[in-house]
Amino acid sequence: MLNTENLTKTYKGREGAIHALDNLNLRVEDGEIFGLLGPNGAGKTTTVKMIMGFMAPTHGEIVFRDKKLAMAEPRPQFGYLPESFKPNPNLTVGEYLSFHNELAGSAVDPEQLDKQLRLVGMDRFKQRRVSDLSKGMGQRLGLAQAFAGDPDFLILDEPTSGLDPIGRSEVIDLLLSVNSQGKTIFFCSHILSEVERLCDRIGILVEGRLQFVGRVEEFLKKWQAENLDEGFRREVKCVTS
Amino acid sequence: MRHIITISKIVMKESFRDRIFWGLLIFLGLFLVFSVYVSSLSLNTAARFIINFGMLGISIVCLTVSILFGMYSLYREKERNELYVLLNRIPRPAYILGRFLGTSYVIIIFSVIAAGAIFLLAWIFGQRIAPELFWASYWAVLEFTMLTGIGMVFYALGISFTLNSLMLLAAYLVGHSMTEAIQSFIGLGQLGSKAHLVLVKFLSYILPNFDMFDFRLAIVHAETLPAGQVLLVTLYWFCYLAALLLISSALMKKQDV
Repeated sequence: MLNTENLTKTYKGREGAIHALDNLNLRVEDGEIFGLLGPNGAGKTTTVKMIMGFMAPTHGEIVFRDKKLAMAEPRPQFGYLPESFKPNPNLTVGEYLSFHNELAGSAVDPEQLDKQLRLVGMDRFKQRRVSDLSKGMGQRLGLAQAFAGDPDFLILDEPTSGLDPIGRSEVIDLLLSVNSQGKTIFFCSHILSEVERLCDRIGILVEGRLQFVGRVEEFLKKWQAENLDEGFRREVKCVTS
Repeated sequence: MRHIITISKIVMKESFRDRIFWGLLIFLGLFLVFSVYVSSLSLNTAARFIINFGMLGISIVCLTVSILFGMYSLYREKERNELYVLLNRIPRPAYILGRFLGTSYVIIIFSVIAAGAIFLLAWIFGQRIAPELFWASYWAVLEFTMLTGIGMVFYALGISFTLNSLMLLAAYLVGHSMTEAIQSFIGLGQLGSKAHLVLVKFLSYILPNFDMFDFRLAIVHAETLPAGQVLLVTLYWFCYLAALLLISSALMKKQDV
């Protein structure tokens, strides 16, 4: 279980303090798929960066399975895919994944490597240079590296960005499949239809504040909306107006 | 340690596959060919000319390696958001040390290749066997790994690549005027107060002194360096570099990335 307790991030701007995140209290249960949604600048990536230890909170803390996580420490317990990720273009797909397996301290025999690549549909491209991959294939490779070391908690920032509809659907199927194996997934996304299909629970973040946490059906009921897109627009409009 | 070695190996691998690496090798080759051509115009000093000019080539190439492979690739990694994936798996000091070590390997490769090529050219075209050229390679490695260490501190401070490169160039130029500057300041200090002298001496320890590694004249004239001096300069390099790497690691741990 991952908990954020009063997580706050304040920047000093020219016109005073900017509250990127304001007392965020969030709980992600083991085994669930949790989607964090919000418009641009809502604080999603800031939240993820603080959970990952890349950014120090102004105050508040992050607790993972009853253990407080320290800032600036590696988090090998999490598989992580950042937003707008581009893998090292000078390596081949196979070399790139072997490198991450090595860093994750897991075995890197060719069979296992093939299996990892097959999981994201990249086994045919093992010898191809990363610089020759399309954006979508780069994103799949990013997902493959997130699985390196077999972590049971995945944190994915916009995992389907840059993918065509077929690729997006395949990634969603893949995430559902790894979730069925017991892995927890925490992710941020703008694409609400995939969130609707994937998530057990969602969190709606607007202007650094958590406006809603709960099941998708509860959210739709709250706004008497037919789909997540409609409900989301109403929620954002209500907060910003 | 395992992480540091893994990162350094990947830095080296990506450097070999970078067009800049081969571009620099071609530049070095052309530079040495040019030195041979110009040396043919001199009278009885061809070998000295090739060695002197060649050592200038080593400096230019190693400076470029330090900035392009050392710094630019670091910033590129951050731009691609790959840095986050790496820092998810390894401690920040291991990342800094790994990148530093990888760049140092590339500096070593270039300086050894260049020294070997100059050795051959001086032998073929200047009829001089100059084993002291391998000392030139040693000093270049010390000098440019220290410069890379300074770049690591600037990087850990969170400044941009352009500013980092400019500051590195400035550090390089200032570091090569240190001896002269210290001597003239000490002269001023003696005329002025004792506080001046203390300040100047303090600054001379804090600022990088690249003049310490400048043995070009001794190498050109095949003079033997006293062992004590070699040890002292190596000790200076070791202590300064260790301090730089400690500072950059500590800064990286404190910074938001």
